Amino acid sequence: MVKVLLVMTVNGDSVEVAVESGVMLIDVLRGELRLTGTKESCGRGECGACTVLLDGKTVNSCITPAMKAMNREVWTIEGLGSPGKLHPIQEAFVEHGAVQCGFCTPGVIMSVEALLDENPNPSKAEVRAGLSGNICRCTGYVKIVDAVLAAAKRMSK
Amino acid sequence: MSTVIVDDVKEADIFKVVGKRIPLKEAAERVSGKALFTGDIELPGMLHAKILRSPLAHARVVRVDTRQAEKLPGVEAVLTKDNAPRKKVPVSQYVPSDKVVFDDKVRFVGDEVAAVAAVSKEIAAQALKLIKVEYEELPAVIDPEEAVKPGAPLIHDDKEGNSAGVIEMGEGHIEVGFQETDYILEETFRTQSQRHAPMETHCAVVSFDASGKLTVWTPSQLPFKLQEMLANYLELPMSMVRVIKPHLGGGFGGKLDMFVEHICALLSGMTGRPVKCILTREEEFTATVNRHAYVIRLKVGFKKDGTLTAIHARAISNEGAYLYKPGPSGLAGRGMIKSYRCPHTRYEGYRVYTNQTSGGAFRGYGNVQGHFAIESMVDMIAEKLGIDPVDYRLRHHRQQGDKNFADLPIVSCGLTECFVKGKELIGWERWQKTGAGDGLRKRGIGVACGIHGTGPSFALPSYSAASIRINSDGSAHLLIGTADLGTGSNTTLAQIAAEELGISADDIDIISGDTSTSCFDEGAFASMTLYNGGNAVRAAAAEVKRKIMLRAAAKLEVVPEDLEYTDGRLYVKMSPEKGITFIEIVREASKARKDNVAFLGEANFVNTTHPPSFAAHFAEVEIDTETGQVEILKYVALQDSGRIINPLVVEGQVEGALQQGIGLSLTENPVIDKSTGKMLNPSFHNYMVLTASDMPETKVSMVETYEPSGPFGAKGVAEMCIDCVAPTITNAIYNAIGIRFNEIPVTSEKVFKALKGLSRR
Repeated sequence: MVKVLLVMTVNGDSVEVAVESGVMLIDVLRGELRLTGTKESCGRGECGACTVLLDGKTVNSCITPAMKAMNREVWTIEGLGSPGKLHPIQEAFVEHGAVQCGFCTPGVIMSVEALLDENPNPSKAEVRAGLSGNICRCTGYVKIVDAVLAAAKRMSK
Repeated sequence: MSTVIVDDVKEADIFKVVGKRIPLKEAAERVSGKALFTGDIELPGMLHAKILRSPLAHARVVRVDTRQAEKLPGVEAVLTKDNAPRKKVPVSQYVPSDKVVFDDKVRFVGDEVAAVAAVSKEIAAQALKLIKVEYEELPAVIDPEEAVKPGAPLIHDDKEGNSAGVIEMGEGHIEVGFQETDYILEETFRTQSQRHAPMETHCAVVSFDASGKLTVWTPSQLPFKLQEMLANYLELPMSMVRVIKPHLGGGFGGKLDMFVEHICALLSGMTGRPVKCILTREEEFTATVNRHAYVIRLKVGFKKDGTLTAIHARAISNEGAYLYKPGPSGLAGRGMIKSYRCPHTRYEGYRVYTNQTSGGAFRGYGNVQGHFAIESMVDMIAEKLGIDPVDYRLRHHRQQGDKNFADLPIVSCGLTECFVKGKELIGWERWQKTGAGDGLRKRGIGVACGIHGTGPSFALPSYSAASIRINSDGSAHLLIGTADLGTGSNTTLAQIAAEELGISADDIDIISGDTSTSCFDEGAFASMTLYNGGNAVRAAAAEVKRKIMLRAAAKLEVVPEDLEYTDGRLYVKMSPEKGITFIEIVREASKARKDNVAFLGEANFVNTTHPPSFAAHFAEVEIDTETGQVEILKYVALQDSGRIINPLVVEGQVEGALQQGIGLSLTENPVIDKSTGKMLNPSFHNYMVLTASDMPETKVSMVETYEPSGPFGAKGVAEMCIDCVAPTITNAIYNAIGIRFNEIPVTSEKVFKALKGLSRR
């Protein structure tokens, strides 16, 4: 199979990966780059677990062809913060109990990052709407919404 | 004896760790994407497996031709009925098996026909398309009510009438009960086969080492039972099978069974290479397990004052193609005949095979279906008698001093307080009789309550064991067999150990869910992880404490009985200034190279009492009578789970249960084609679980009681909070529009049709 060189920026680092045509972005991130924080849950762009940022906008990486990222900027959960140095959104998720099993969490947090970037001071309804592309089966979203509102407050200071 | 209601302020002062809102120990890893789930594991030379599944609901598998598939470059092994073990094997705990994996016959759309291991998942998927299967189609039976009729196609040759067993129970004489009564009501209820839909689908990574020992990484709720099942299937001693549960992406009862591990192990054995398999979302919906669908006929007799004289319940549970969990039928029955005081009761539960995906354990385990029926019925009784539905429940529901589902006395019960607080939070004074509202948008308030045992309520003893090892710096390792499903049980168990030892929960490293490092544990199900595990942990910590007390007593030249142990410090009761800290003892012992290694505590716990938790739920709904749309304006959930060890964790459990419970009530509707048995909506796009914008305003609150048999007074949490959601909502809908729905989910379409008089309900 013919491979094409994909050049993109991932979490601030420029990377070059030889990819087969038709390969999805999630497979390059999880496979070639071993950035396994991004999760695949439905494989059809219906649940948001694979959400990453492409030039600052959320995309479902499981249905985004990798070549779409050519010469563009990709951010994944690994680029946001690490256990020792959490991003304020991640901190708020920890403190407010917004994490249970954690499988949806990376995707949810990337959606929150995009939401707060666009609307730094969202209402509760706006947070819920902003998260409606991410399914969580554990939390009932209550503590997720609390965490997002708390993070917004913290980040606007 | 009256119920002890924990006084929040006073008790909070006593404990340093218990009762605190401590975030999950694993939270930082999970929010940063560093948490390792099974699907994230890569091993050198690893192959990827895919499973070929039956497109037919019922057929003989005449021939499986794998020649083309085997020739595909990259394919390393193909498994079919021709080379898989020909024996019935348990694929679920406590169940005598009726399943041969890769059988001569397929029994539902999704049944396994073949499996391929290849160098990539893409090649494995391509190989499946090259396998030619010759089927001889058989008549299928999809509807359980049809399956029991004489002449229905037999799904298992040795199961006459497609019966997967009958359970009967009751007290008194049911005929007498109906003779002594003033009123009789009889209704039929139906519930759907709700899907667990965990975000992480079933998956496994398996690898044999050079000695022939098998290691299996899998998101299992019961690693020890899985170890046993795998050893049995592969004919290996259990010592040669290690099961490790990495971070687990949602269980809810769906990850108690063996779906991929044994298949991966066979493929790995054939190729000598590690094998990974991750089910697709469609497979998760169609080829794992679901909540048993029920048809329930419930007949009750009651006197003018409301006293129940007879409850007769009959239920057909749709077991699907294979029997994974017989238990829910019994629990559904107990929910209906043992929730309210009644002298004459009878339950008959018929488990029926159909050519559908199997029923399994799903949060609530039959009690959800039972509660839907009895809590709807109780509302009808209260209305018939003109009694406030809360008052009726307060007067007749089993409470302290009555028997629980295991026929043992209920020792702790905060149900009354749940009602009192819940009425306040929903604004019950606004409740009016049905149909009081006018206008196009009608509002109503509904209530229901529930009872759920901690541990299997059919009186099956359950077991947990813990060991605690103290390091030379005073930090500790807590080893426990139970699996944390992402609920926070590891954190809560560490809190129990920390409280008992008088150290910080941060200083406790917890290792759980690994069959090679800890002792046998029954598994994380039946709302018992905290109760069983917590009792074992507390006893193990007490054993460590006892050893430390002995050493401290020697050091302080007193007898251990003279010592007090508070907050990590040991001191002489009569002269508190004379003392030594826990850490000083450990350090000194370590320095002396004497017996620091002996600071090890081990204990086990057997649960035989199953103390129940209680809940009262309230919902206010608004119904658009033009479209049939049901909006929940406010949902209030009050729960008694004994003492709350970690409110953050417990609230999260209840809130999560509401997402699943409201979905069960209104939107989660698996559509099964009546002729082909195929699920028509196996995707998140068409099977509607609630998103953030679908969730109503919720108010979750705890009534803390003290359960003497629980660790620091705690009882189970996880299932009680889902049992009474559906009747709360359907009772509210009835209150708003005067139409009672005895079948869930109550979709907008159903409401619309009912409002227009177009359908039965």
